[in-house]
Amino acid sequence: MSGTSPSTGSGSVSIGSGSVSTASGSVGEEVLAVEGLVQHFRGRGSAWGRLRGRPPKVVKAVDGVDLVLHRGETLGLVGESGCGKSTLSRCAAGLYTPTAGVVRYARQPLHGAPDRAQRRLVQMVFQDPYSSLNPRMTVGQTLSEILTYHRLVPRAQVRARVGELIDLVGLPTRAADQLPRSFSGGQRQRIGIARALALEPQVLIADEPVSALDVSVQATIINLLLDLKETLGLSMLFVSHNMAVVRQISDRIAVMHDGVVVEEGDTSEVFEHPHDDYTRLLLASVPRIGGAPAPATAGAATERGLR
Amino acid sequence: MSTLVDGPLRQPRSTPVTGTPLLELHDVDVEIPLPHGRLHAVRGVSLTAYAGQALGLVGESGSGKSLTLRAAMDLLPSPAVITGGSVVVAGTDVTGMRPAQRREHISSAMAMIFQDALTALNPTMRIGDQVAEVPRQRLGMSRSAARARALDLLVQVGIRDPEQRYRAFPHELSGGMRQRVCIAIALSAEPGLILADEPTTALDVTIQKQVLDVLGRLRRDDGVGLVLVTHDLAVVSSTCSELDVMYGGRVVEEGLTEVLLSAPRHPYTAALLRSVPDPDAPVHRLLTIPGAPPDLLQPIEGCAFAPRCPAVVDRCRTERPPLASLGGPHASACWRAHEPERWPGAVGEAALEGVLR
Repeated sequence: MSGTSPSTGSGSVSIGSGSVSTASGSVGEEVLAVEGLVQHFRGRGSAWGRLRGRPPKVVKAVDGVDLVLHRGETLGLVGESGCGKSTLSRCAAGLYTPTAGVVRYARQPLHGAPDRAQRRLVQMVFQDPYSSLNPRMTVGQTLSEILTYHRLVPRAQVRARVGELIDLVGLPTRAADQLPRSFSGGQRQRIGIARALALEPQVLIADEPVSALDVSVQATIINLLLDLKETLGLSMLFVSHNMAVVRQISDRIAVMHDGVVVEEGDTSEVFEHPHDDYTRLLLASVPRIGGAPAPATAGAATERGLR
Repeated sequence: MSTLVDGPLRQPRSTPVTGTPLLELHDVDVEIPLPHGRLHAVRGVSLTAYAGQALGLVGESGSGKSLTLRAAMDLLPSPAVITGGSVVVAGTDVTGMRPAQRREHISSAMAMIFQDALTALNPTMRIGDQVAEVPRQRLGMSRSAARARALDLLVQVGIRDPEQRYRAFPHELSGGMRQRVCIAIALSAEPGLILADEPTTALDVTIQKQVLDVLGRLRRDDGVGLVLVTHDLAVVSSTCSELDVMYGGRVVEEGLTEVLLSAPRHPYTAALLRSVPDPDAPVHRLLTIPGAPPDLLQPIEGCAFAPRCPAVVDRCRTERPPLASLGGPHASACWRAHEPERWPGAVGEAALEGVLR
């Protein structure tokens, strides 16, 4: 890394500078933060390697990341496959216990898995809504199970609350009695969002929520997320490889490469004046309607990318 | 090879390519028999592709774009069948041929690459041997000549250290490298046309660009034509000079890419263009298309897009608009194609302004 990263070393202080502005105008306090986050995965290695006493290969998926998400803000996390963005988001959601570093929810550090109260603060929306829903449970059953387990509403009102949630994400009322398989991809993603919203979280972590959808459907989900963020005052960590989508939805973005954040800043600032070489390469590679990328950067970028 | 690519082929955007088309589809119908009816997936699609030309076929899931391509290549997944129309490859109608003869004829003129390169490759064979297979088996080259040819092809698709890569197995390569190997295999029979079904959808943007560059270079330098099926308008825009937009199993608009992107004359194309997020300009609201694609199990009366179309008039619901020329290669299947200024809202805006600045 060329040392231009504003985030390396200096912890969360430099990121949280007051100059950040969001679409809604004001920026609140920290709602989610990771500090010095490291997540290594240890491979099994080959049987032969184990016999010879060779150490198993360690994959450094996330290798020292500091990020802060403020109240009411959308932070876009971009990068290519294998850069560690999904691992980072899963650590932030408490699905992995990090190798080192701290995850904080509302300034309280997380010890191991989040407890019930912490779970309610941060919820996740996955890329493939179908595999993240129970195929044998109707949408209504899925949602009421969560509401009952977390004792969010009195038992008598569960049914009504399910109806509200379904309405909130723009699904027809009869959806409550249907199984996930009877919905289209876009509708399933709406169910996934309803499931996450059932806990009334403050933070939504969305890992590639629109990548599996057609463009016109993708647009409806993006609009839905923007609306929900506005009406419910959510903060969002939006993970995607799609630069165009991230540009639409994020107030700030962080670019990841090889397990570290190489550049972070206001969305328009990063898109218009990228500092890091990798960010430039990424931006130059994005196909554009009716436009070839700038020739000079693109040429240099391709050379580098081929290595 | 260079004799193929003189003059017009070098500027396909400005000059239409002349000569015998390598692939013509005439009113092709594809149906899939299902337990509860016949799914009419492709409904009378006609298209023409020339050597040295890049044609984009765009549409959303279920629009019939992939099946159209597979019908052309005689690779329809069972139980889908061609039930009407004709496929003409290099001037010969292949529809009535015996299967073996048809495959032979088609594969000498065209080759196909797929979205998932890992499943397209044989996991138990070294990649070099897979590339050398066609030269050896079908072109009858000697072992050493086939090997030399394979190394050539690997270089041509931008694989460095081909001598070492030759002995690699598919799982040892990255996604971009695998797709390059697939392109090398596709090129090994010296086709005039490559049919590509979402070749870069599974790849990262930086790798996508490299693969598209390889395909672009093959077209410019060696005159290898390309039919690119994708859902990504941005990819088409930077790759293809001609464009067919499909909806509900039909081509709803066709023409030069630049024209379609700057002045679409079908409300579906216009709406699609406005629903794509632009990486260079945040608009805080993307246009969405209400409703859902048509049920292809049912017969469609009138225009398939009518239930979702903001510019719909009564006629659209009863009478299907034909794909009618608007002058030059530009054609649109819309009753209101000639009056985009009277289309309502964002669709009308998109038709008048396009998305090209």
